Amino acid sequence: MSSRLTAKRVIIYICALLVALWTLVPFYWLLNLSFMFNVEMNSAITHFYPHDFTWSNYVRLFNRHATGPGGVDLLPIPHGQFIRTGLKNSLIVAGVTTPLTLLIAMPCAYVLGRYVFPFRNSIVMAILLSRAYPAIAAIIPLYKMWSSLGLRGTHHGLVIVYLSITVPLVVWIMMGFFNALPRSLESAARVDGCTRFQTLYRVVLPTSLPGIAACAVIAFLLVWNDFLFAFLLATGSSALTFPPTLSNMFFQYSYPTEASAATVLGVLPVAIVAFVFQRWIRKLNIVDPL
Amino acid sequence: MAELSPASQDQSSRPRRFGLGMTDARFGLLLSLPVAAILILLNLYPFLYSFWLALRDIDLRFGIDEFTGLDNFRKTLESQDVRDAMWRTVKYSVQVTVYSTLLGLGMAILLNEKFHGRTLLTALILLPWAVSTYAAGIVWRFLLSTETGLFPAVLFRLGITDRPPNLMNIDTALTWIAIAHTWHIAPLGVFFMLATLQVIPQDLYRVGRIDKLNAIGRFRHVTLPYLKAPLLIVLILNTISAVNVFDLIYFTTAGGPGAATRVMTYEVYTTAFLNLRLGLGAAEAWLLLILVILVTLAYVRVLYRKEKKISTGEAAA
Repeated sequence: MSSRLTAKRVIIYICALLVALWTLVPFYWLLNLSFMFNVEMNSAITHFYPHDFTWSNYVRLFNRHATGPGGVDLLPIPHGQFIRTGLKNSLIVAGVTTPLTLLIAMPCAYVLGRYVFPFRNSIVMAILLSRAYPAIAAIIPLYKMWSSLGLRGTHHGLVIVYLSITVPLVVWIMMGFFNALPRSLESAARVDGCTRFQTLYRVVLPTSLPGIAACAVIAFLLVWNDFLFAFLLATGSSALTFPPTLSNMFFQYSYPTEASAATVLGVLPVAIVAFVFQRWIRKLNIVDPL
Repeated sequence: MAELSPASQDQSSRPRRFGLGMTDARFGLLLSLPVAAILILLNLYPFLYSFWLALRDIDLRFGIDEFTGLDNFRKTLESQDVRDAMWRTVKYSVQVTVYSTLLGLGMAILLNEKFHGRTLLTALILLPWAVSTYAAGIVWRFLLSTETGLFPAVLFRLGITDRPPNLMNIDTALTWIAIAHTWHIAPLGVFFMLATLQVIPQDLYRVGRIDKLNAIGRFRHVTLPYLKAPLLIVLILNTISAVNVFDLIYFTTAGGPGAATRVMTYEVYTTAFLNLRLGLGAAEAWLLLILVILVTLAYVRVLYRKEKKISTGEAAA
């Protein structure tokens, strides 16, 4: 019996190790490339770790020179300025979209989860269907509309498009969240003379902060990670966000080591945020057609 | 959904402090108005508008824009390229769905066991889902490329093969992208299934042991009945994600080599945004939409059946 138990533990640890490798090795490889000089990456035998560790790919993205192996002067990466603008634009667009999303979505999610009112089921069904609308299909009419409204290549044009994605998602998640909250607090507030509005913003929203914060993270991630909408609605403009900027660099201007460093810059912040907030996100029990 | 009864019905006789007879109905409508506006203006209207576009021959290069009726749909259905792309989408989706659901299930079962570092691992496996599909594409391109790749290097060093897997192979490119997609999407399935696994009463397993069920038997007769609902949802989420794949293809192979990874989304992109035939692209997108709607309807059915089961379960308890 005990030997069988031991065998089981060994198998569990081996599986855990394999899962950890499967999850982390791709990230490791990206970091590995980003800390190498081009010369080393181009050497005949692939190195599994940087033998000549360097921050130069990152430094050179920020318009600085670096010293390569053998004292060679390495010029700043020309595409670095676009990457920096892209990061700034992504931060602006995601930073504006997230609070707007919460402001618009929370009241609606609350009434959908708590009240019965006309068109309630139609709204729920519309939200569900909108979540399944393929982005590539949605973007053709939006492209035409945004062209004629002069919204293409602008920050607010992107924010409006992203609201159409984040709002239904956050409503969908929080609807279930609010419905699962105990009703006793609200009843007490109502008995104490709070109006429906006061109950919502003095009692319900403060008690739902973890859920709201998790939704903020999800909305931010969704916008920060979007490539397609920005690529097709903002290419060639000064409002271009990070992902399409990276694709330009990736396909036209760079060595893999430099592109890796740029990718890390875009991925690392969100990975850290997701890692920190994962417990809250998991508690939401999302059921969503992402 | 019908059992979400209003919390405040019993208070309807109370004097109202807010405004002109604020009722539940008015309160609900008022607070959902902004969302309804977004749904109508940014989802419903573009949806209908895309049908209108599909009825027109639009060529942005030559400034053509004229009504041609159902001609675009006829062209779409007759096109061999579209048929091939649809078939690739189906092949791709089946692969992604099978791989990521099985892997998600496996990881969920593993994380439901007790071992050192379990909390950390549960947090770590979320990371591939938090990075976007485009980043997943870049990462896997670097892993697989003969120039920078880890996989070719390992296989070569170990002397297993000097012709390692890569994305430039017509026969295997689609499968490798499906594997990259699995890396990205499988954690989502772990979310649902782990949550369910953790609420299965341990007593049931004890009963299973008493009934002399082996591990496989216990999985079939105890775990699987509980897992059925989340498993079906995960299957459909993974399928929709696979059908809608774009970034991953764009960053790994851009539809190549040849047309080996030209799935339906890529076909729509080429028609609408490279050849600038928006009308024809809209018609092709409708074909994709029908595929997604079919999958979503299955999703809605599953979800509602699950809710019914839960509510009757509560009534029984």
